Amino acid sequence: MRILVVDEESLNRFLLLYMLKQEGYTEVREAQNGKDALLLQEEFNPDIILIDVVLPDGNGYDIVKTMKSRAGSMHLPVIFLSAMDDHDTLVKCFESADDVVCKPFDQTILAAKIRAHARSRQLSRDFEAQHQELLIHQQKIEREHTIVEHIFNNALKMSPRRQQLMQYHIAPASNFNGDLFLVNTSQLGSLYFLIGDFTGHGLASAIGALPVAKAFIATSKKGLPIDEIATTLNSTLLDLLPSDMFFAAILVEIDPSGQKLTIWNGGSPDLLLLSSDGEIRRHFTAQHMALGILEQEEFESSVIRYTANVGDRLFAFTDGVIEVKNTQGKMLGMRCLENWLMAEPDIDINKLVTKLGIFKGPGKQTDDITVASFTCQPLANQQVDITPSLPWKISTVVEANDIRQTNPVILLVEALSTQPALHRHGGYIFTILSELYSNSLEHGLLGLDSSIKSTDEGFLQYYELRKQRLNELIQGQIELEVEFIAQQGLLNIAITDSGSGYDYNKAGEGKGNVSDSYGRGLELLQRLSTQIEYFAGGRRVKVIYHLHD
Amino acid sequence: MLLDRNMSDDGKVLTIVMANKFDFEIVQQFREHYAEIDTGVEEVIVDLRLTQYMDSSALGMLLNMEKSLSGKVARIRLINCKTAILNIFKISRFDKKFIIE
Repeated sequence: MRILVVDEESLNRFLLLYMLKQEGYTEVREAQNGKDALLLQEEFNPDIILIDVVLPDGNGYDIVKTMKSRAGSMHLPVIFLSAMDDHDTLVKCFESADDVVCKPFDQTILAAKIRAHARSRQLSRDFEAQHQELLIHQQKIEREHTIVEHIFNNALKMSPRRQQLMQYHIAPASNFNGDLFLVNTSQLGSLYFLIGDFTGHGLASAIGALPVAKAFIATSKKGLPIDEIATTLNSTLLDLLPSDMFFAAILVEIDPSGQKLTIWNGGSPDLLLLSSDGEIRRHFTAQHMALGILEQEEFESSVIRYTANVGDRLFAFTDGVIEVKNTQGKMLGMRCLENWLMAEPDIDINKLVTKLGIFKGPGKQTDDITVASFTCQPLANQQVDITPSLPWKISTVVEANDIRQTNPVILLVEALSTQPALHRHGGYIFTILSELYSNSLEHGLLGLDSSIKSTDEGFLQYYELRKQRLNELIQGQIELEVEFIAQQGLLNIAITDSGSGYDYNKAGEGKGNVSDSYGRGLELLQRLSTQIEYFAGGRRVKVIYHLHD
Repeated sequence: MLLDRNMSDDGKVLTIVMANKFDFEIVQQFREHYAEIDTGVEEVIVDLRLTQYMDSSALGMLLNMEKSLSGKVARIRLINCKTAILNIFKISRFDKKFIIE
């Protein structure tokens, strides 16, 4: 315990120092005026100060105020030494100091007071140390949260194009969101969205979002049916989450027409469909338990299918929305929300969120809130490409060796489907390329005759023969070319084979009978493309496919 | 897995689940699935939930199945068709021969 003694009289200082030494205090310094006292406070950092009320360079009260303010949040005990013990002096002393001892002082009492103030100084020191520790801990937590938030934001980031397909608003109650909202489009052009709520909120519940997002993005991109996506998510969460945690969610697929809805609702509030004039067409009430509860064999994946009208609007919420409480503690409730929507079916989502805020009034948001809506119309109308597509051309030549071993069509289509402009066209492009390639290979290179396909047996025989001749193929090549004309939104598809040519005038003759099991390829080609041209005696065929249909 | 086959518990409904790509490469396998069909099967379902790609050889295979089963089963249903697949069926007027959902 370091003690500073401030007194003009050297005798007084001597007596005090002597007494303190007897009491066992070894770190003691002295000053004879206020100026020295302040210098020593800096240099010596005393724990307790004994100071005379009257100093040669001013009064002790002002010096004590300065010393106290320098000590900051630490408690610095100061004891005044006073020659006077009148009422006014004592009151004045206690305004700035913690105690007063009147001269001549009683050694026993002064020693006891110093011990008492040493205890409070020690308490303040301990408190300060803990406070520093907490500050460091808090900074560490904040830093960790920033890192985790960064990871979450990147993992759950949606492309701007996908965001434009739906209107939505996400407002977490804390740094981390236990709500999850994801939008994706499949290779075939359907829109998928997921809206859900993990039990609780904050980091513990947000942690489940990463595996769910990963599984949802992968399965929806492939265009898997909703029931299968629900099953996949359930098994992912079942493996991962502790048993008291689960994920209430709605999964929706919307076909490219924007009208055919496929819905799985597990433990979430009703999904609402409203007509453009504000009539509620349908409540899609939860038919299932939340994800992550039922074992796979108990899990029910059945979906609801519904065909909406163009202009209808689908609204989805997490329970944080209908459970918003006003200042009287009354919940918003589904009925009130429905009334808002019926009164204003074209309400902007941000305006809806503002209305929620007004209902809640001042006060803390207690649960995560997510609202999303989709207005039914063909998805192509809503897709806004941020980056204009560049024109490109891809071509490949397969030789006999490649032809024997692989089918280039599927490889080419899968590569093409990654192009944003072709997302929804993969299925049709496959059919076109497959028809062209089959013709070039089977008729041009292998010399097969389709007419044997007319019977069930012949059909099999044809493909047996194809396999056999393919194995014997040692010469020949097929070139496939696909050119994307970005400005006109079309594909030029051409195929050239090294075969003996093909009588394309005869190709479509006498067909068109629904039950013929062959000869449909040409018809499909004609219907899927806008133009078919033959060159070089049928060895080269060029087809135009329009992307805006 | 190229394709999968399930029989309902009562033996009345046979479901064939097709893979991602439906074309001649599975001609033999597809035929085996319906060739030796048990008596008592009333309905055959071809589930296309996973199918993204199809060409005219698949149409031929479906028609052969229909020919071979007509008189033996009451119905053949093509279910869970994606838009592109559905359009190919419509272009080929398959709705006249099959129940398409």
